[in-house]
Amino acid sequence: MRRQRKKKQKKIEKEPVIIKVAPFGIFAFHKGKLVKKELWKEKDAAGNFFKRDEMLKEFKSKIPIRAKQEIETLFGPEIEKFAKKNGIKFNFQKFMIEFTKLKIKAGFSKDKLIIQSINMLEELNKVINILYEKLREWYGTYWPEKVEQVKTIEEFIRIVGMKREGQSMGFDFEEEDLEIVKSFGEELKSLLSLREKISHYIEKIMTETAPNLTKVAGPIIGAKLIAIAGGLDKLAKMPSSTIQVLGAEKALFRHIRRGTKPPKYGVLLSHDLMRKVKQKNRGKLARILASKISIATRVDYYSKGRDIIWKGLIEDINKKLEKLQ
Amino acid sequence: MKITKSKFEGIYWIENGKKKIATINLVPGYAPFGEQLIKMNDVEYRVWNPHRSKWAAAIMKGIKEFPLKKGDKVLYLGAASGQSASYISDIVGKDGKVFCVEIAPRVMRDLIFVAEKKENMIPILADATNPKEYEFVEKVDFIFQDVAMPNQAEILKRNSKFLKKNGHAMIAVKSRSVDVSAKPSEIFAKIEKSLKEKFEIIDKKRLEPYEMDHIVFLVRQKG
Repeated sequence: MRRQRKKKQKKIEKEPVIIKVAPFGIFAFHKGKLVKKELWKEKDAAGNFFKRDEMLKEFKSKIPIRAKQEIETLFGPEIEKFAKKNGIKFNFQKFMIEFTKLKIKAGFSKDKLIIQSINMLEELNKVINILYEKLREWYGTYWPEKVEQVKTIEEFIRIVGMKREGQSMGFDFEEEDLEIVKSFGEELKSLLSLREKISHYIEKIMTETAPNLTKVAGPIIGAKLIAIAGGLDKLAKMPSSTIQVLGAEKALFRHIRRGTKPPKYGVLLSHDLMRKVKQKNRGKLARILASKISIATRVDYYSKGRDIIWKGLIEDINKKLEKLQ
Repeated sequence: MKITKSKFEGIYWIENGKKKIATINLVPGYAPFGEQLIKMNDVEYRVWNPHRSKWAAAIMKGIKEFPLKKGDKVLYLGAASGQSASYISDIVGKDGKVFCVEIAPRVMRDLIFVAEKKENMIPILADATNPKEYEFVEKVDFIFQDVAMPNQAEILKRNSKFLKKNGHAMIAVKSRSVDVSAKPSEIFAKIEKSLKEKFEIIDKKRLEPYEMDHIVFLVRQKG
């Protein structure tokens, strides 16, 4: 008897099993009858629907009937009809909010953090320059002879706020006058160390997410290109002629609109190699760099940072550079 | 201060020296975009700024019709942070629906917060050039389209499959997002011609001084 029943179950049915995947669960029908269902709680619905392929795989293995399976995804006006018919409470708007949240979360990637960081670094540079300039003036009214000798910001933050020695044409500060200058000096110092920190951070995540681009363009220029393009994905899809002039949008649109001379380079101008060639060859070098950057970026994006090809690209660049020099 | 009904459903004139338009706030007390709220006779009105919304600008410029009604289902393409869409949501009310399609996750984040308060706004993170991504949307009475893409007329045509018979659409076109070098009037003429293949043009309005080189078309689906 038992054996017979087992045999019966194994029989493959002619009629297919219809599996309906809805935002509130999965349902299997056979010959018009519900044979298996999995209802999701409201709070899990969006998450489960988001990974529905996984959920479906598990569900399929639990269906008691052996037959061809046809899968339908329920979405749209049918959802509410289906929910009503089967007595399921379902709020499509709330579901879409949760579902969209998951999509937003999943759509974020590390290269977007590069954009935030490089933008912050640029702002930080501006702030540091302004503060440095003003503080130099301020402290210079007290000890002009010392400030005159100091040429770099690194030297300046070491001496700012110090009590002066020897004769000076500077104004005699009282304790409180010097104290406030000193406080600003300390803040400037900590801003410099913050700049160091964020530069290291950018270099690190650039090397992780776009190793080839980082080697060919340099971490900062590479990051700027990603930021202007709006992401590593977008940069990877750009033609190298666009990459060549990224950062020179103003000049480019002036050219398109009014027919002025087109720009030859944007952020690529600050590439280290640019200093090695004459002014008249910089456009050519920008074109060479852009073409290799474009290849590097595509490899980085499509291999998810795993394939390393930058050595060959840099060799190519150096060969072409020799001809320009 | 004087508040009067405009000739368009759900839209009111507020006169207080200057003339402004407003809708009745669906969620009293809620002003997500820093807009002005005005209470009178237990009704809260939400001021609709024509500098921030192209539809409000079209109304201020005297567009002939604004055939949106209470209870309407709306497909909104290019909803951005949901600012304009939130006024459409006020007009269609609780029984209406606004399907808000937006491709950029950053602005969708803001729209989510609005939709959490306004229960007739349905966020859809998708690309309006590819309606397949949101085929589940039901048939709608009205489409609003404000996307900065070169092929704007084409996008509306593709999405018109969601539009009911005799349904309306309003499309805002920024000439610079089509072609930066061509003259705006030439671009607008081209788009109008393309729209005429599928729609009947009811009215069009340039949006100066609220927006430069923008135009709004009000169209009806040809039977």
